[in-house]
Amino acid sequence: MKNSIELYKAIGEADDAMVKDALEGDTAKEQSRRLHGILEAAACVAAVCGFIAASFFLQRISRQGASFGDDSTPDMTTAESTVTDVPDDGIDHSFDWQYEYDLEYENISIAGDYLFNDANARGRFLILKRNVHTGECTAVCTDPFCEHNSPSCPFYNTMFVVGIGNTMYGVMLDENINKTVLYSYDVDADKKENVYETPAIISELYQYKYFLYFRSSDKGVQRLDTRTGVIEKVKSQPGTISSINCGLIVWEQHRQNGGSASTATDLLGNDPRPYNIFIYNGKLHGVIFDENYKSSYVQLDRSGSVEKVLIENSYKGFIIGNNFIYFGTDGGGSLHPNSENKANGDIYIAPLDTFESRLLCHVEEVKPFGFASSYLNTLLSGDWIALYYQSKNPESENPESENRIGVDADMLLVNMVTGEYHISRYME
Amino acid sequence: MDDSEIVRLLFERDEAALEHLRRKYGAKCQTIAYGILKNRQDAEEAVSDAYLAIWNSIPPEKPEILCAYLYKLVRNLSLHIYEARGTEKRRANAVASPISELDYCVSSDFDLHEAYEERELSHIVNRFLKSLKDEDRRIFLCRFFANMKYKEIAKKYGYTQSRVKMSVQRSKEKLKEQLINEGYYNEKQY
Repeated sequence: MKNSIELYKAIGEADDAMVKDALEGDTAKEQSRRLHGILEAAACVAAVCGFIAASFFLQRISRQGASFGDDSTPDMTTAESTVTDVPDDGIDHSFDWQYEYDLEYENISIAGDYLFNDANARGRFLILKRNVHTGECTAVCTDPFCEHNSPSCPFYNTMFVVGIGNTMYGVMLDENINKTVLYSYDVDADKKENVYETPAIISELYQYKYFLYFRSSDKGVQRLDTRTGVIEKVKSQPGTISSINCGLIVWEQHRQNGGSASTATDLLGNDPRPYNIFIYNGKLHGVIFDENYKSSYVQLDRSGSVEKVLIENSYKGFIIGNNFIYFGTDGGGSLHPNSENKANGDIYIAPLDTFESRLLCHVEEVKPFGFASSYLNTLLSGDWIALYYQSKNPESENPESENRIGVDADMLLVNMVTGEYHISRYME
Repeated sequence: MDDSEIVRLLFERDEAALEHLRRKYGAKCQTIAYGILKNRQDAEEAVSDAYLAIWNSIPPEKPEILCAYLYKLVRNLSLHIYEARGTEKRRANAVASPISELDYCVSSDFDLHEAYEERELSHIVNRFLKSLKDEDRRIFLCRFFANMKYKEIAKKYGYTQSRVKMSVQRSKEKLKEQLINEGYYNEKQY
């Protein structure tokens, strides 16, 4: 108990801004979703967690000889010949070229007709599904008389969800059996069944193609092959899972000096190796911000200096399947959460090999500004991606102010190939 | 009333500042104090002492974030009263749900008092808090800084209670991992 009090005292010395944000944030839900969208976009471009108002570094991938859709462990031979362990000598080796990989960034979603997320919808916590073809957004629970706020609702107490095709997977606390349950829900068949139960707590859930990775407090990380139902143990590395992509799990551990160290392993947690800067076509790429938080996608030299601007004024940005997707702005944009969103409704796409941007679509009705996610998973279904947006709120005292209506109950669905889009709002 | 206005009143030695503080932050101060002391009278005493401490310290202090300054005063004064109680009285009042929940994160093999005195523990906690996702950090601070109940936190953010509990558990696991990495937890126990 004595040590608990010391720790409790230390918590009392949390940074003042964090304390104010937690206790006094009246629009904490909106702030959380807005910041989450901003951070998610920045983190996806950089493929690292955390936000630094100086520069981001982007991981780039071009896997040689590998095929998309192949779920097997990738051939690491090429990487093995160039990667060596990071020496523990206190020197920053981030730019050492011996740590380069050649990998491709993939779209790890399985295409379906729906996107799923948990959301604060008009003051209620709901599990929602969105039809990507029409934008229709409804509660996953099909009972028209269900209020979704008691154990009589089959999706009550669901913590987080991911989608694989038209099947939603969720983690819930089942109070009837006093266990944490990972369940599947087939939307087309309207069938829900438990796939894993534990008396412990499941704290992480990630989707990688047909696999679900989850961490329970009793057995660590495991993965479920949703095609066969087979559950395998994944060898855990220090830290938490940061991302799963291109046949690698990236684990992030926070260090004593305030920095973090990342380790990449294969999809079963084997063969750990340091994970630092990634190269695309032999060049180092990143996203940088100027003093006004205007961002540009650039090529860097070995010291981290900008060698060439590849896409100027790329307001935020996200890499999916070898394309860089970003927003257009009027007069620059900003990632600062308190600053005005200057996104103008344009969405651009640029292939990573040519950087020839084209306008994917212009959204007139709302301003997209961030990439939506469900817990730790980006919301993707094949070519469809979900974005957060801002629009004028008629209920606001200042009708000219741009407040988000709803929180993540409302999203913009965009097709990354055709530019088709839908505004998807949950309507009771 | 804006916090800068309250600070201005304090600088002008206008007691109306204290009334404004009570109205704006009184309820949360009570929650923080009661969460530690579990006794209404003691909690009111701690909060009153905090207002007096603010009156005596501003000026010359000019806190950038007034609410955080006040909450920390309340918290520290409440802890001081709690620790000053005899062991028997502490047992009788059986605190401290938020404090006892932190047992999960600490090891009996290490004495964290020195780490706290040398501010090392505070640095570790701040690094940990910065590593959390925004919503998890907010929930964690509501629970362990402000001693809010799970039900209150759920209502504040529109979540279910279980989601709040899950978030807290995840964060405690990360905090434990951080203490292990920093060498303040016996890894064998982990």
